[in-house]
Amino acid sequence: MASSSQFKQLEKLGNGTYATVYKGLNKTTGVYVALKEVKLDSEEGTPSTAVREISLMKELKHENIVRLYDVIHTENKLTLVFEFMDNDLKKYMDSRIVGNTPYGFEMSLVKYFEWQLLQGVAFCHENRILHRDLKPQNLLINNKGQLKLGDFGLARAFGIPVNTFSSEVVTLWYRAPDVLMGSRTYSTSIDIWSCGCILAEMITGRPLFPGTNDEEQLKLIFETMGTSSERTWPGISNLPKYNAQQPQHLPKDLGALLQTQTREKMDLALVDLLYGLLQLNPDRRLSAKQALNHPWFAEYYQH
Amino acid sequence: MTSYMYYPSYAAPAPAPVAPQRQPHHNHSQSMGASGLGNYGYYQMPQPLQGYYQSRPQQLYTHQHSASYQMVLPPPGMGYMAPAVAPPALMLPQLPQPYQAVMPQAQPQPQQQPHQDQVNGGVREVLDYDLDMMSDFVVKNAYLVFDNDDVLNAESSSVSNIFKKGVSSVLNATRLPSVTVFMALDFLCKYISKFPNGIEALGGDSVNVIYQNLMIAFVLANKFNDDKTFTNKSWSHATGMDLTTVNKFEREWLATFEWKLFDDNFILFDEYTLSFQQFCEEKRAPAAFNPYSIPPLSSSVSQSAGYSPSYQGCSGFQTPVQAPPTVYSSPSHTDERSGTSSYFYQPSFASPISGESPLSKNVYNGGNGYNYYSAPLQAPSLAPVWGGQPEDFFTQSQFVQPSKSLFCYSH
Repeated sequence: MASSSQFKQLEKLGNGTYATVYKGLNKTTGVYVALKEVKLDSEEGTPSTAVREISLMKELKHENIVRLYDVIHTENKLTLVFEFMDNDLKKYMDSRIVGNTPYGFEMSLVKYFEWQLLQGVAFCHENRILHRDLKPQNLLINNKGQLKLGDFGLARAFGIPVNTFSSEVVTLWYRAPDVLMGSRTYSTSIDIWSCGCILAEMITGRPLFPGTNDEEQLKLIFETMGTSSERTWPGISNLPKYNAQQPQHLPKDLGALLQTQTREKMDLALVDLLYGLLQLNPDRRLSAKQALNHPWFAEYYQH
Repeated sequence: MTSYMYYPSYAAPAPAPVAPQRQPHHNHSQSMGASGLGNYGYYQMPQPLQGYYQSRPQQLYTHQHSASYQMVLPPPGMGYMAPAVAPPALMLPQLPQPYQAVMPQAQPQPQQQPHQDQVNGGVREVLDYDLDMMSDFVVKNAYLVFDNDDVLNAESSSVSNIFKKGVSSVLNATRLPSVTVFMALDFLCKYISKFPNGIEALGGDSVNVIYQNLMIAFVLANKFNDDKTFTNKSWSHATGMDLTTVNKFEREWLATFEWKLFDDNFILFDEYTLSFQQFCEEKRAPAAFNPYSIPPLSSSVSQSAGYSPSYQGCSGFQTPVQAPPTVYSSPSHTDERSGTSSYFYQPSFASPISGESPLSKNVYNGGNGYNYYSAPLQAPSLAPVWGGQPEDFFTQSQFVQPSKSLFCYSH
């Protein structure tokens, strides 16, 4: 059991959703760590986000998921001791903006990051855990080019009945259309949509669907991906926020669209994978495992 | 005999706790509104034959009857009269009027509610179980987990009866889904198995210890499993437990579990579900019920799966109980209860249909915020309930004597 005296607190790394993160040094081992400090409010007790993040991450030991080493729980502070990572994907993308022009990554790096992202997601889903907040800020990277999933504050277990799923999950830009329309029966497909958005963003350096509210978010999605109907998405009209008067759109050519925003070549396999991840109908979306077996990743699995 | 100060204060209106504000998509915490107060309207009023787990629009005002006992124990400085003063935005849209009537008039820190859809009610609008059945099931499981022999006469014990009311009150206020309730029972079972010296390390098997630990199991199951969660202050109001006690227990529990609340993916979920189903069937089909043999079950699956999950994984309560045959035969049990009230309630309790709470006499007699439950219960005459010989129920049946191993978690 660790105690806080074991760690030297260094510079602040950022403010999380319910915590402040510092760089720390384990004085006994000399290893850098990330210290996520949660101030405890006596009226709230232990925040449910912390209860979930800790109990779920304790089960998730994978090279593409940030390791939780320890938990220090005192009466007024909770400190989570995480594996230290150099950066997050959001900051890394921002660092590549030249003037006002964002630049995506080289295609080889896009592929390597997306591969690792899907590996981490697949492991979560195998362990019956949904992340529910995948976005570049929550993907941590280090100088070795490794990418790891972090911030499991919104994660939750599935597999046991989930009567009370909230649709207020996932940061808007990365939120799947079924969730935007009020579905509460989502499952692993909720994370896959985010993986698709993140893939496109890594290519162009810009968020794919940067909506400002739920309605605009859905509009941006439909304008690019086309509108759905009962034919392509049975059950869509039963979703709470389904709008039958929605202006109809035909799907755009996603490959051509993204090609205008990158100097890298959008090959057909990549476009096919994007369509697989960004299926409007959640039942048609690829699983993480299927995505990892997609031809675009052939160089990783064909050794 | 310990005091029962931790039983829910049915009579004490509770301020609605304030949910902490966070970023919108993290802001699932909420108040649960009224504590388990005035939740016994259905004991008091003849009802049409309908499950009270269905919506109860016609019963919204039944608590007018119970206004007297709601008002017995005002917290200092709290008024009662004007529910309308409470800001409508803080009301519980899906909860019946009585809840609103006890909403605080003076929020300590009235807060702006940015989201209309942020309701203050329980986790579920419609319970996916019969509240009375579930309370009974929970209490018996909790007794069994603690190896408390009182479960053998649980039906007739006023102590367990009050325990059950406490559980019912908490479930009614929080409206936890059944999966969360089952998870809490699973937590309780695992928690106790983590103490090599058994329940002595927890302070014994007094109903007070059982109750408090059960409540913390609810707290953690809710925080782990539901997207709508409650603050500990809300839990404190709903359970009658002190906030510092809730916090302290919560920390102890998490440390004992090493935070691993999901290390087996809640593998026993199906067994709990089945066990509860069987429990309900036994209660609802008393004609086929024989306490000394395995009752016939409609579910063949359960038969083939081995009769009792209890013996496989410490989960469900399977012991046939000596329930009066008619008590649970209908969800509208108010009338039936009147016929069996002498069985269910000690003479010191008012008849359930007399228009008063079964507890109200004691409330009045106690005259003190905390002791009124314990007064009748601490009477020496009840000592045999705790110290007396357990009925030889188990030995006569074909069930094995409950043993520690039965409740030990295999991990």
